[in-house]
Amino acid sequence: MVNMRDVVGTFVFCILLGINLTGQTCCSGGVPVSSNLGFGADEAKTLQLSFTTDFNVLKSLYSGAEQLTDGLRKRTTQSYLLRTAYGFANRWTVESSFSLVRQTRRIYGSNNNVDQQSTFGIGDPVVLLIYDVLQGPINIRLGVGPQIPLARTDFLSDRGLFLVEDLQPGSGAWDAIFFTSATIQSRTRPTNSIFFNAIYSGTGVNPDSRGGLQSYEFGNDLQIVTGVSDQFLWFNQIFSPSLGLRFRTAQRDVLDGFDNSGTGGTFLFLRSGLGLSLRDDYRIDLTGEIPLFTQVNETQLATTYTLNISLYKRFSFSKNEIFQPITF
Amino acid sequence: MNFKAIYVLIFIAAIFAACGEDSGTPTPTFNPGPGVDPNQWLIPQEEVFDGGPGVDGIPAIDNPQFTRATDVNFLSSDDLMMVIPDGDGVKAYPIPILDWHEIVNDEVGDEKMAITYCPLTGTGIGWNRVINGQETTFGVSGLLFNTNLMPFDRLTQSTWSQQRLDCVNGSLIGTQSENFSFVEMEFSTLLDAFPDAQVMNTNTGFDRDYDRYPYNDYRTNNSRLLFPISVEDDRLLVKQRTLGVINLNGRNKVYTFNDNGAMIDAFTDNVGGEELFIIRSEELNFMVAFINDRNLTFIEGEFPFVAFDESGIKYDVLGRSVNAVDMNLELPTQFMGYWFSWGTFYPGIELE
Repeated sequence: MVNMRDVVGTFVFCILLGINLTGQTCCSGGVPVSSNLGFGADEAKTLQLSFTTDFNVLKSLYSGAEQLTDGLRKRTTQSYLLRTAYGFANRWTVESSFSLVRQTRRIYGSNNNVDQQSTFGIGDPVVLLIYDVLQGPINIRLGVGPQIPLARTDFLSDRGLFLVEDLQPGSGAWDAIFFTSATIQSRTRPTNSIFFNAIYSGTGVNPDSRGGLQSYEFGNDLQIVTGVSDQFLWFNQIFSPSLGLRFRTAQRDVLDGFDNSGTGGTFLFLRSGLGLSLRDDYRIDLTGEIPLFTQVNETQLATTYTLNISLYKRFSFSKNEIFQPITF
Repeated sequence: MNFKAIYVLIFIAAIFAACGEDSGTPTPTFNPGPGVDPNQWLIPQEEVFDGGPGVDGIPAIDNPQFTRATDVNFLSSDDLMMVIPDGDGVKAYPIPILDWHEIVNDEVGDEKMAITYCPLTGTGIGWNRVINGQETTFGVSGLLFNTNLMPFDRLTQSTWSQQRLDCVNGSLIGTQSENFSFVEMEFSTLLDAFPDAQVMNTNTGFDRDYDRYPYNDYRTNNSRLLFPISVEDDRLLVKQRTLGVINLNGRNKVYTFNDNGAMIDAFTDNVGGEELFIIRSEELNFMVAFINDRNLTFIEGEFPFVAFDESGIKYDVLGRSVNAVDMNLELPTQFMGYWFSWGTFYPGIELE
């Protein structure tokens, strides 16, 4: 007799695997660090750890808010992120994110040529100091920290020429990251919560772009994620679904002191996730996004979809846990 | 099988799938062929920049379609176009379309021609697509030298410099382009002068927003360049549109629009031992130079006819003879361009 769980599970598995096999280039990269910041609140003396693979596929060409019919170019960003958060005191947490980033540009050109340029290297790490303003069923957190320019920005093309800034794994600049989150747990159903995250990247200037011939500053970037999450038991498994929206607005990049055309825009994504607890404090999360609204400056490739797969583990060094972590 | 196993499999599969191949194996467009040193450049390699879109990321037009000028409804009256005689007719290539494609592979008259236009230097010129007896087409390499277009020919994959007018990398390195000069004019001028002209239309094979200029305020912002240039020359405003006449016995010269109030201004000049007859109009927004080998005289008030010679033959603004066969005026190699580009490509260039 067919096991229903196996059928559903295999179906989900095939869909997700199919998305990857048909949607990715030979390894993609990017700097989606900021949208992956912000573990859930936890008590002191706990360590939260996650390993995340994040894909951002850009193959939708937009002119303003109008999507154009074009299959010529594809940009992918693939990141492997190791994130940690440690509650070193009551209300205080230090969070970090280290990444490996692969950036790929593909062009399906004339004579059936497929031109590809890729870079792969460590990304700029982020360190945040986070303070819990409110703890408990209503949790509010504030954080601030730098994105440290340790990643390379001098990768060359196959022809020995400097690649453009958005193909480099790093930004070459110190960025200031401001973070806030709010989580409200339902009184009637404690597993149910509403979450809100806002992350602002105040970007710095890389004075040594293209071997020092230009200065470059990526546009300041604001991202807001909000939605609902819950937990339920199904076939003796704890699932954690979430549904929400991600809003992102980015200013234009600045090249040699002037706004760079073809950069910046406003985006709204539908974000859906599903987590599965493997055992206590050990969970896998899958999150996908598709754009609901895209408005770019001039003409740009924009995100077609994102996929985020995260393996989460929590270690508690405390004898008395106050409340369960809420993650999303 | 259970959900935990499935999820672990998904996790592992996703990581491996991400390293898998996409449809289409990368086949680098740049493949200079055996025996060719890919790192040999006629120009400093460190001054060549990847512009971002990549090879063919800005798609050339290989099958242009045309509409009679009087039937065109997709252009504004002040849109500029590159205009050239085409047998007994006239062809015009709108710059709002060229801004998005930079190269058109076409045939003009009996010539197989690549119409090249760089939106960052404002320079447009035609090149013969038959090189060393072999026909090729040109594409946009995605590279820039002195923030100027670098076409590549698809037959040898050699890289060229548009404003230098030569091949700077690849098997054809050192080869000079064979040039065809155009006259830039506004659509309203074209419509008045050549209502039967064939105007390249927006059926380019690509979905682009041709009503939108793709570079923000670039063409009017005199402080902004997108890529470094090797020489700066502040004798004129950075983005001032000028006419450059090139390679006249090794001499080059730049002309500016008239400011004497005349509707159309005409004068002669001598560059490299060649006498030029120059017609220009700030009001009509065009400039053109002819080789003056027949004692040309300006005709006032009969535009598009602008000159007659000692035999009484009249010529229009494209240099076509009106009442004689095979007597067209010769245009020296010339093209319009933002001032900074002349200053950087031809340091110290003579300025009118």
